[in-house]
Amino acid sequence: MDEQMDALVKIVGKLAGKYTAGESTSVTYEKAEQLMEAVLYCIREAEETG
Amino acid sequence: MDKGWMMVSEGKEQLSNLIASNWISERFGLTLSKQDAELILEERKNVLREQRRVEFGEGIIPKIIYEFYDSDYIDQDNYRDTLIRLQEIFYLYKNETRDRLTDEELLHLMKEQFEYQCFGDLDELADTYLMQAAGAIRAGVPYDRLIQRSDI
Repeated sequence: MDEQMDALVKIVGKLAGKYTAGESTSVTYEKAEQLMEAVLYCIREAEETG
Repeated sequence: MDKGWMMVSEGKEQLSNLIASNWISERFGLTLSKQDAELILEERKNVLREQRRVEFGEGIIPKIIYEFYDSDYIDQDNYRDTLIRLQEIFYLYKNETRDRLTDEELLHLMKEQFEYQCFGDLDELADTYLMQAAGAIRAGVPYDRLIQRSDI
């Protein structure tokens, strides 16, 4: 896994922790995918407006 | 986007966490070798893929160990294989309960039923008791009622 992807996965992991209120170490593929899409959306927005 | 990122694994860190859990379980005569820990982590990857779940952080196995290390039905001979089966059952029922239980609640329910209803029979735990409990959770029965029932 390259560094950029590693950083993205760490952010998704943190979001997953918030989503489960720290009470679950895992989420479904579907939820993980939604969280990753949210992160990518924010990055794109920041790039476009930045 | 390629979904390969979902096969998250922290490799070395998880391996050392798992071996470090020996400090608590060895009081009950239970220890994992490096090979045992590697096999458990390999099985973890398989079951997460099967159950279509992504896990972050240190993972569930240390929590399974802390919940089950004092079981009357686990000894050194069956320790590794029991942990592998328990993690399979855990992820299956995270899905079957639609994530309505926290990790801690599900592990506690599993332990109660394993000890006092199934007397250490993992097949009975997975195929009978937890199946019924998951049905009840999906139907809206509160977790506390299930625990009270399993304490009878």
